[in-house]
Amino acid sequence: MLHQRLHLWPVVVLLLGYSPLKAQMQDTATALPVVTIQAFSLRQTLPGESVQPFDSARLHTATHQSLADVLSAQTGIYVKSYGLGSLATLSLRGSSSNQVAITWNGIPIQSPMLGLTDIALLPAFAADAVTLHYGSSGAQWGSGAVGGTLALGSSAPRPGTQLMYNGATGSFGTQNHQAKLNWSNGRFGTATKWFNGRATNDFFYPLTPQIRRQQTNANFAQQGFLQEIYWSPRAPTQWSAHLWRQTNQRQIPPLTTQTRSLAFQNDSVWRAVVQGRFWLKKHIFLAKMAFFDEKINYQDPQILLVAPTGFRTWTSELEHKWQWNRYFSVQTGGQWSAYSAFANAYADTVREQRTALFTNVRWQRGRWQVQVSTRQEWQDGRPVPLMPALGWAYRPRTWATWKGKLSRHYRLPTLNERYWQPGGNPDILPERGWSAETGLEIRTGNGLYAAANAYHRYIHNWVIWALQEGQFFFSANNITAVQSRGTEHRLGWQHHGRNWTLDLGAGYDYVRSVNQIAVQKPALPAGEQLAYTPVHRAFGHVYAHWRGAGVQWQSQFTGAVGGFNEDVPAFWVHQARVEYTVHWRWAQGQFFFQTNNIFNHAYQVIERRPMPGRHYMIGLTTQFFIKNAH
Amino acid sequence: MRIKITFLPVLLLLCYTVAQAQTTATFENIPFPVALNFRNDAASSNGVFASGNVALPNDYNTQFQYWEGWAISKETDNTTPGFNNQYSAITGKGVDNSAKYALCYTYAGTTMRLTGPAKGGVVNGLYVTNSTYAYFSMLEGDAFAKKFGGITGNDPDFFKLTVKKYRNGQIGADSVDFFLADYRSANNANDYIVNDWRFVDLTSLGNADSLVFYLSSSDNGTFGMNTPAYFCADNVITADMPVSVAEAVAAPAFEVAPNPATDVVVLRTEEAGTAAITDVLGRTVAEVLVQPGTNPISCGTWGRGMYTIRFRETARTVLVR
Repeated sequence: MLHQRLHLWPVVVLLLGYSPLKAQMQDTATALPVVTIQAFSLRQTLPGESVQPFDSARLHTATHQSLADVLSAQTGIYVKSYGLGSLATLSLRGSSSNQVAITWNGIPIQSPMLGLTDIALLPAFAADAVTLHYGSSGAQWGSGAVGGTLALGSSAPRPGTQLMYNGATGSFGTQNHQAKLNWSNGRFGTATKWFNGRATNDFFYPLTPQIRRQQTNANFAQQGFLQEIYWSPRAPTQWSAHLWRQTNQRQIPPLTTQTRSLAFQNDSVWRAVVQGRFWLKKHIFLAKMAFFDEKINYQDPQILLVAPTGFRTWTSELEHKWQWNRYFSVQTGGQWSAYSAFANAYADTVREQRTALFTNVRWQRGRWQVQVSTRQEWQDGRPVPLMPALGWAYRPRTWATWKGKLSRHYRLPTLNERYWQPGGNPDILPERGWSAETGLEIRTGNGLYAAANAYHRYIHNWVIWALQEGQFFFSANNITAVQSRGTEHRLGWQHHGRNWTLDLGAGYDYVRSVNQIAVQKPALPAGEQLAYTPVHRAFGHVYAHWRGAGVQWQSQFTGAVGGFNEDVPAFWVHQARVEYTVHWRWAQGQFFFQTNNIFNHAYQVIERRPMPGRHYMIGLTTQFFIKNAH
Repeated sequence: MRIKITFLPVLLLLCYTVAQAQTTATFENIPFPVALNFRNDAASSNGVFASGNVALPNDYNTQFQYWEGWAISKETDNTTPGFNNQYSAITGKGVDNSAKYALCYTYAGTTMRLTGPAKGGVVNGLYVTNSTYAYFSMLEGDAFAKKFGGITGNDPDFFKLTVKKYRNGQIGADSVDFFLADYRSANNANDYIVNDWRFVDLTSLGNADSLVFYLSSSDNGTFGMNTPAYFCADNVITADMPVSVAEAVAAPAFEVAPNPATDVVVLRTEEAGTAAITDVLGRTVAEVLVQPGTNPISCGTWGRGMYTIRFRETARTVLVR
């Protein structure tokens, strides 16, 4: 029963931000000022892909939030938040949480044990750029890039010295402090980020209309730093090294159906990436090495549970891009990854190796862009079926683009699915299938933006932890298939006056993600929408800026979803923010005040996990920038 | 005398379901590994834990070191909730303070086989209670299961043990239900979660070759029952009556009533003699001179439990509350 599946434990955060959701071709993504982003990979996004970039300017206003908050407020993505200070995972286009790839500087950072990353633990402050790729891109990013890909990246500091401090305080004991020091002389640069946050998250919530309860055992604390070094010894060569260290301490609050909880979880994360880039006429070479070390120590003194888990990942990557002429380019590469992981439920430390070869051939001329990509991967020497993809974009008018994509996708079984005892199945097959999408995008010179996409995806060998005939424990099995289809609609308008800016945006996503094969235990009827997959999701924003003053309003609607024990009703959430920015020579300061869940709605994203009512945050952001003396 | 002869065949048939003697499976005979308070692997004893005239099947997966069915425990920790304390009874001990007891983890029904002279006979009953894991899960809720009664305490929750029998390869239509927790009463003061040993009378099931135990709960989700599917059992009392002998058993020499009894149990017979009363451990509690007719016997000082009354080669069991 459920109690035999004590391996998945939740954990963190909340929201605010602003700005539009603009599914758009990467080549045309220029909505807001963009700093120079270090290219994470030579792999080019398929032309037909919907991409939503969040540059440093956009992330700046969400600096005190986690990426869970940013994505929940500004995209159609469904963020499965277990509550303030608790786990948050992604569902994109009706995918499961482990069918969304998350990369940092081009290297996947999902846990190989679970196949997912807790994005509530990823502070928006840590990334200089975030890009959300909608839809399958397995040929580009490999395993897990089924519903989409979230790419985090770094940017080289501008020449000069930049010092930033952000401080904020808010409801439920929230305290956030962040500092950044960037320095560069053009050839050598260093970027240091430090962050520290904590909250008690002891909000009140209604158990019934007559009974209110205060959340307990919900403390959250997070500390970390990033150290990044950039070095360009001579023009065709560029090196960079990136180190991300982070620790988190969080308590696991009780469910609404539980009287108490003493559980807590401590995380320790080391992420390091070193990369070198070389140019040689029409050739670019990129070499990359990465090492990740993550440990989770989950404990529940109440039930005498101590469950340490952890994994290490080593990744090496070589990429080459050949720009044959102005129309035609070929990119090839190889990636080798080794994983090791431990858990009480593994018989021993488990290991896995993956090797992949990939190629992307792009042709662009006039109004057409076409790309063909392929990827061949092996898991412990066992080949995964070849992953081809075809993407195109056609621009019949300067303001209109028709695009499309046809791709195969896959998700390799996680280490838990292979080795967890009981129930792990070393011979379990990868999830795989095909997806197709097409869309029309309109972008006019007067700031109007509109887009519509439709997609269809089928996944075979969907992995379910199920009770099989004759078994007395749940085990991982390839026993069902899921068909997902839907549409995405975006509408936005930006206008820049002499002293003012007005930005309006709205989006609506329709998702049908339906189980195709009936499963008995767990009870999953054929033809039924997957649990925690809203059919409807909508969002909108108004952002107005006059001189130094700014006002933001954001609203999100999430349709009802089925849970594992009860249905979770639909809910609206609204946020408002006022800010005032002062510029003084080489300094800038911004004061902000924001209100979340402004109408104090009682709601849950995940059953039995209450979300907070109206709450506030007030903060100050200061920046100093001094150009180098010449 | 003619009447007696006329009724003799009928009485002989009735005796098929009547025990002349009984055996109590206390599980005290199950050996334990050193330093362990439980046995969850019966591979060394042909996959069953045998005690008295019952055999408790156990499925043990050596690859995953995982079990289902029956385990035997002497765990005393009845205060720690959660899965890690899955081998503990909420009583912290067996019936009558005995050390060992049986514990059942069942998903879709778990059997208890009757062996030896008990096979094909009547099972008088057994004692059951909650596991510590299930008890605290229902009392406080946990990461998967709800607190019984819900937020308001008014949810009509229950956790039910259902016992059926197998006889000649066929499952019986009759069943005996016992609520290990019951919050269905409109009056919340009547809500309870069993935290002591309770006797479950199974005589109504009649003759059986084996018993099957099912658990059900009001708290269910996509993955099935959320309430931990555990219960504990001890002192399984079987009527010892080999079939060949049973066919020849004569009419009952006496009757006892009421059953269960509280202060007085009445022995009714047509013959004189001495009746011996023993407890489940075989200890003699009393010996009473019996006269033809009605013989009231005071049982208020015996203590709660199951007792056996033997009179002229015949035995009856009586539950004293």
